[in-house]
Amino acid sequence: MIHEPLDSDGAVYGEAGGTERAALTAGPVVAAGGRLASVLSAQLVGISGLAVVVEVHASDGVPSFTIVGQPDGACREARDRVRAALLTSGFAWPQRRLTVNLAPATMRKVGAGLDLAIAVAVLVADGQLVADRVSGRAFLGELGLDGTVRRIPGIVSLVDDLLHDDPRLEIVVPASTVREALLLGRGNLRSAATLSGVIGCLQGLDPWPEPPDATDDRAVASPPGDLADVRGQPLGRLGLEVAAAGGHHLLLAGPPGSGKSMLASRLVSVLPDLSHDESVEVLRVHSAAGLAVHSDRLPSRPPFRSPHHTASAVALLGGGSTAIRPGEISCAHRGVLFLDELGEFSPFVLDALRQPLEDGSIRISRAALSVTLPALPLVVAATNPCPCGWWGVPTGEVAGSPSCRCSDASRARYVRRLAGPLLDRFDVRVLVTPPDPDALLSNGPGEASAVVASRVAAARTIARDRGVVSNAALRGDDLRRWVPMTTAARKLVETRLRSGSLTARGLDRVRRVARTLADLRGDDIESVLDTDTVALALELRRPVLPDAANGAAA
Amino acid sequence: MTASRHDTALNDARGRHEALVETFVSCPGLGVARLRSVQRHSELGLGETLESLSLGDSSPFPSLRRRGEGWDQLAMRFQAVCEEGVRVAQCRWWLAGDPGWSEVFGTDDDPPAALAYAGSLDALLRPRVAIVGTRSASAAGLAFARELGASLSAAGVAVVSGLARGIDGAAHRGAVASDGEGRAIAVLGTGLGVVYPREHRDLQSSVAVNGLLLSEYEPQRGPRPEAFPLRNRIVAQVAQVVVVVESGESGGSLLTVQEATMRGRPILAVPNNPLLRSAAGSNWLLRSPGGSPPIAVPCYGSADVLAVLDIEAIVGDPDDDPRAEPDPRSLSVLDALGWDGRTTSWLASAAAMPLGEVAEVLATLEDDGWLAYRSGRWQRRPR
Repeated sequence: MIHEPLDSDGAVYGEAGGTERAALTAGPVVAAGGRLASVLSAQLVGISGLAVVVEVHASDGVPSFTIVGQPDGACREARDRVRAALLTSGFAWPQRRLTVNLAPATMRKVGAGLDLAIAVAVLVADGQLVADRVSGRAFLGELGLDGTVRRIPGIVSLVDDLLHDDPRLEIVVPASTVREALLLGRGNLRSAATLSGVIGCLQGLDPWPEPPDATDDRAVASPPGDLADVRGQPLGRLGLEVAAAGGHHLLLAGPPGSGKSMLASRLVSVLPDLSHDESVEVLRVHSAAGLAVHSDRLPSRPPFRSPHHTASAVALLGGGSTAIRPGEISCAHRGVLFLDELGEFSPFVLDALRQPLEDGSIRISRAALSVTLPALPLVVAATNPCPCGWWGVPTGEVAGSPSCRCSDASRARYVRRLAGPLLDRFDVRVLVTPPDPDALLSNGPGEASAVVASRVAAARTIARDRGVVSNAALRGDDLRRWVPMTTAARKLVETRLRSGSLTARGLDRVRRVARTLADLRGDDIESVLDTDTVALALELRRPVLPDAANGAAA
Repeated sequence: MTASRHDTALNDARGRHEALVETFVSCPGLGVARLRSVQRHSELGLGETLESLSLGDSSPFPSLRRRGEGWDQLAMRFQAVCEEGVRVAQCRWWLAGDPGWSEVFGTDDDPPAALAYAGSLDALLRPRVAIVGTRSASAAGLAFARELGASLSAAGVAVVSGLARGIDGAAHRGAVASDGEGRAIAVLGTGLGVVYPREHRDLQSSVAVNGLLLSEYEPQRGPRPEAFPLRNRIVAQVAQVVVVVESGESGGSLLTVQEATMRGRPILAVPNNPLLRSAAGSNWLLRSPGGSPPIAVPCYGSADVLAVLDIEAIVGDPDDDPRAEPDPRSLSVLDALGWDGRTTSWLASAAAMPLGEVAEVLATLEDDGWLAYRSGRWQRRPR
């Protein structure tokens, strides 16, 4: 094999080697048999950015271009994208035998996010770019055939995790994502609009462009609406407030048109703003899921996700065959996950929700890798009590309401899907009925979200003073310590424990909800709970579905 | 009726008869209606007749032999089945002509030939009142049926019904829950070994223990639509008085009423709101179209029924209620509730009380036995 002469640009290459494999170093090497370049990039796995070193070996021989290191379909096609992008951007395509290795070779490479790094590495290996221009830098982005650098999902996680490994790293990101990445508030970020632009800046011919203005302002939409729009529904409103203040999952049951969805969509409006750390967590998940994020500021409001009931387990929990994408439960992290028509979800999907709701995170394991994603949403579910929805509504309670025509068998089948452990995760359950005409026609608005939100925030502060995020997290001894009851209140609970209508687990949940009720009322942090607080907590925990579903889970 | 299951061995004549009845009833092509014909036309007792039929001998039917070969075929088929083996009967059978039979079925034009039973036939010694009605009754109707069943049972009356959903089941629940002398008598449209509807499994087994279950069919027979009207005929015959609590315009309970009128049984009906569709039939029974006397007399409670039976009513003294007297606050919630199922939200606004207070009142009323919570709604409990 013929040894390559020095590059015409006059770039100085290091000594022949080929052993330089440290993850965060990059640079070209003249190998004994051909020339070697390595450029740092990263790819997304779940919501983590993992460093990938793109190595290109150029040698004499029949011109060819091979990518190794477990590329998937989209990644393998980088071959054609990179070649076209280089040619249209005015660079020469090296007439050599090019081998691209994506290290570490044990990890499957997914998607087109390595395109820019491969193009840069090819130029370095071909000697068209000075090698030390790329050291200390990482390159992220997909290439268009015309050399445009396109956005890739998960830029926030990629940047964050690369900087975690090497805070001094300079990272070149697609221009359309640079604002998103800047939301982290750290790192030396460079905006890349086109391949030729990037190379020009690397060669020092042009200054790096300023980040573009925040034009991409597609935020994750919060549902509109204020609690003031809700008429009547005293128990529904209370349930909502308690759920928000205590972090208790909420189940709303009732006939069609009773306002379940209206209530549920307003749960977000009474939750407090996200803290900075929470915002970053939410941002990372949303960026990885490819959801649009506010490009000029960190998300301050909790997210609201409302997947349709046809959602698959993977859509809800996360996963996928090539890349592990966060599911709806992670997208609703620190926010609200609204499951409308709970009874229509596949029973398998509902069953799979249980573990993450208990753990606050979800571990997704595939043959090649396993990923843990955050999943700490407040779940609010709405369901009809039977397929037609009118079960149990007495004639005349709602004007013109039909009576239930479901057969016992279909009702039992419907309710059985909901039965069991998932239903038991809902600390607060409310039967919602359509408001009566007087309430609908009254002019006075209901209490506004802002008023409720301030009570919720105050209650959450009290909960934090107990050392937990919210009362829903109170366990064991803490629960006994923080939820003392008056003698009369104890008797109320005792009667139910003895009759079997309240289980030990149910008791714990009643205690937590009772504590939240007292906190909302502004009671002292250690106040002793009286009868009406405990009775109300019991009320919010009563079964709201036909009997088959309730089992012994009261 | 003292023969226990262990005595019904093949060598015991009584057991053999019961086994033959069960075999006959469950044999395809024979069945209950044929058994009635056999009973009607034979000159011996049912057991003896079946015994000779099982041997292929149709001589007990001198009058039938002349009617063509249908009866010979019947005898041949039964003989064929019996040759394969007559198994021990899986339940006890009450046969026509047994002690007590004629007191109940003596006046019937078309009585059953035999009835499978579980429980004690002594229940039939009591005055017997049927409580019937629709399967989809209003909450108030169910509450009334339950209370009527309980108070009649407390007065020593046996409550007869079909153990169907709705009114039937509620009446039986009341009778079973009462600790009075009366018993529940359920006439099933299925075999005794089948529970239909399934949610009445517990109820059916407690009637079998404390009262009496009757069925014309072999134990394993499942629900068939044609069986239920036939069952109503037996209800009408067993009962001395029929009370319709709530019945739609067309329904099985009106068939029961028809059968009962033909037998000259007094009919009572519970007057109800004319707008309530599920009570159109029972209200119709109380009207007198074209000046003819109404079919039923109104029933406002157990006293009306006992008056018809000519039993001195043990009128429940309202002060006798063992439950704790509700305080004024609780009383206003009870008044607001009435007899329909209501949600807590509804009660809070109807009684004009804050939620916490209503919750406390409701919990206390529940503990004192005034209210029951069923699937999202509060329901007042009868005494």
